[in-house]
Amino acid sequence: MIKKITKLLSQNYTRKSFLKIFAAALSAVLFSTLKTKKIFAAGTKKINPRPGRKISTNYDLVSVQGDNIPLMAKKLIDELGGIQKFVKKGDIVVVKPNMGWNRTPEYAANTNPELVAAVVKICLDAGAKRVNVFDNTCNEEKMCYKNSGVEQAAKKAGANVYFMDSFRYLSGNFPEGSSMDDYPVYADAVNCDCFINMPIAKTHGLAKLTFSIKNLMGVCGGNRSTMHWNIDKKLAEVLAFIKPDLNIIDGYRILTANGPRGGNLSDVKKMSTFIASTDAVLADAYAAKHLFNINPKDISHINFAAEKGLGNININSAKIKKIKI
Amino acid sequence: MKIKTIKRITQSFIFVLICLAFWYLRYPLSDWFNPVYFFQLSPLAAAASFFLKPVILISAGLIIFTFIFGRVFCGWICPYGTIMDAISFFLKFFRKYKENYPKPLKSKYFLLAVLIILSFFGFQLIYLFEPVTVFARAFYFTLYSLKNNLLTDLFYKLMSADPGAVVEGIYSVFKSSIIENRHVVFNNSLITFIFFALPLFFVFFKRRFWCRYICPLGTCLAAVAKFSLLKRNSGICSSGCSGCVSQCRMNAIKKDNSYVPQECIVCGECIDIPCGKKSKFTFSFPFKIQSEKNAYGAGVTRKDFILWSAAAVTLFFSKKIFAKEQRNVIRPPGSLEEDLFKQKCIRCGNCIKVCVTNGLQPVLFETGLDGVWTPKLDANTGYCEYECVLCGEVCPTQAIEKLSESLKKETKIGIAKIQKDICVPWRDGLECLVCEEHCPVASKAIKLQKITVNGNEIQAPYIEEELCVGCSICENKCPASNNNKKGILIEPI
Repeated sequence: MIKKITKLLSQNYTRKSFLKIFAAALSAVLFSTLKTKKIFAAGTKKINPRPGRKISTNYDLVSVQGDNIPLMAKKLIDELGGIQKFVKKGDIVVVKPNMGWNRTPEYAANTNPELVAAVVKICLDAGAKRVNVFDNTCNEEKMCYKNSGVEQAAKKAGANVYFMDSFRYLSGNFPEGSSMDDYPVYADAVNCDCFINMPIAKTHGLAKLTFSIKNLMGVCGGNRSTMHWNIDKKLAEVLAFIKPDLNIIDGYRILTANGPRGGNLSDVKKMSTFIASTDAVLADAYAAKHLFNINPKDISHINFAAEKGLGNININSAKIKKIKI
Repeated sequence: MKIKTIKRITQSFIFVLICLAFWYLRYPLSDWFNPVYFFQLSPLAAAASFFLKPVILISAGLIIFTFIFGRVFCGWICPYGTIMDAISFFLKFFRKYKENYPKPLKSKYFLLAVLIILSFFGFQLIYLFEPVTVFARAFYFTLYSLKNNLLTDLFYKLMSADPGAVVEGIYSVFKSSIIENRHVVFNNSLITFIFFALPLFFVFFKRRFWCRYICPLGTCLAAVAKFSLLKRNSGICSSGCSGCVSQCRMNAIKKDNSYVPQECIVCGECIDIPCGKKSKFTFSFPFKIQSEKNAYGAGVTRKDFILWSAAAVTLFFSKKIFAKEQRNVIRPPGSLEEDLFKQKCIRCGNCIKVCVTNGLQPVLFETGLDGVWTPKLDANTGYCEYECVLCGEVCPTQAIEKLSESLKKETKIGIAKIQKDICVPWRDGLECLVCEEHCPVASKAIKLQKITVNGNEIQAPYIEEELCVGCSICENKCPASNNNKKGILIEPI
């Protein structure tokens, strides 16, 4: 073969030999760029739902109001019973903020970076081996990570902030007949010892108001646009799959209109409130009632999750502690 | 050290630098390590931008440099030339190049003249043949995307199989530096590559084939290099051994050992030939050598002139047939008016490469014959990021104007239209509102209204046309599709 090529190249060129080489080169180019069948089809591995930890806290829900964000975050977790209840020594912790939009923090489209940094620091101080921070963004990921301020703040606090890899999305073992079969779940969000869910309180055209439950969409892959069809059922299934150990709702600045992306500073309202609970449904219900003054039963995805038995929507029956700093 | 060794090292070094600069043309932009300046070197780019200030200054630098040293740019810097030299270097193991006696080389003058005449009439085709952009396009559209996608797939496969710490370490280093975290796809990349590779193929027959017969940039520089100060001193040799004549890759040395300065690319290899009597490059005043005045390649006969004019006129009328006056694609924000845009755009592909969402794509003939490889926004592959102004910042000729972020947010590039026969709420009565969620305009250009479909009262989107900027994120994210048509469609304005 090599001899042949050598011969072909070293001969005197005639028009015929020129055409030969030309045809060979052209077909080589064409062949190399032919779209071959995608051999890298999605893996057949499936992941099981996250077991989650059974944690009994001092209160069902704690809400704190104030201006010193790191102090508020510390107080919040201390009142629940201390970080030791959630994070054990050597744990791998996932902190999942909302940084899906290319907006700076003052527009209240993404979770407050200072809060994320404070929580990361608390986890690391408690002896966590690694704190992973990531989000499947809606806008371009590099810009979202940078402009939301979360990447810089969390990295400074010692977290492991990274872009999500396509190969780490695995299809989950959802119950029979689930509508979530087309939407793989990010493996790192499941294979962790502690999952801390950190949404921001915002309005949303379809879901009306979004907190902890909707924030879990950020660990799902696939065509997330179609996920919006029959969203209530899908969100409930993701919630049951991930079972976040702790939900901290950022109500420092909330977006009262034109959510989830915002853009008008006049739509942003400063409430200086953080809400924490192990129960995502309760946290969402409380946030809807106290931040937006809307009956949580009017928000269909929260209501649906409560009906499925995933949490307590009845605020009056819960043990709640309010603090002001 | 031999001159050709020095030249090869310099060429490789500069080539690697250029490739790295092309590679790292992405968000966030580097202030100085930016290929924009490299594109602004070309006098053709200066002409295209109607002598815009930074461009004319930079390209004037190249012209002065050429006036002093000759066509060093062609011989030592041009990436396309370097590739050709590299190919002929490897082919040397198989075959011996031997040049015939010089023959008139009119083709490139012919091509440049026709292209210039056409560009006066507003039919811009020069940049299809500008070597730096030919290379840049092939690099961006084909080599870069192919490399990125293959590596991404490779790591996808490797990492899915739990390869261990070493591969994961390599991947974590590669992830942000060498590979993008996604597939990068460009339309018509194969055609771009063939256009780039075809002239390289002719290196089998002539080294520097492109530079000798086609290159318009080289021809521009040749006009200056004719009077260059650095000249080959060939006074000593009179042996007639023709060693250097047969080895000159540009055919710049004549049989009587005199040489043609505008053809010479100062590669210096004639100095290395062991003929005993070494020729030298020395500084001398250009007007000393009168005998070169009517060197070959410069003589234009009446027949040639008629031929050129006829070709130009034919092509000009073909513009009437093939060019489209009306804008029929979505141009990047800040683009000039369609005619002016096509004139100024040098088709370097910078904006297409830098686009963070992979939304800008090269067009082929959609905008007419004079719009080949200009950028368009394609909602199938990406969208225009609302806060991003990168494409204007990397345009070497400001065919896309530099916009401030606040001005860009108000710049309309298209307008959204809801396709009620495809849109899910309008057609099926199923709540969706993905477009409303993604709409980046602060007060939402997509608004909601209550409608009743099949007895259900639901919310459905409608467009506030005054607010819509045409960023295409709604079309890109729309989950409803029917034969590749989305439930919402952006029309160019």
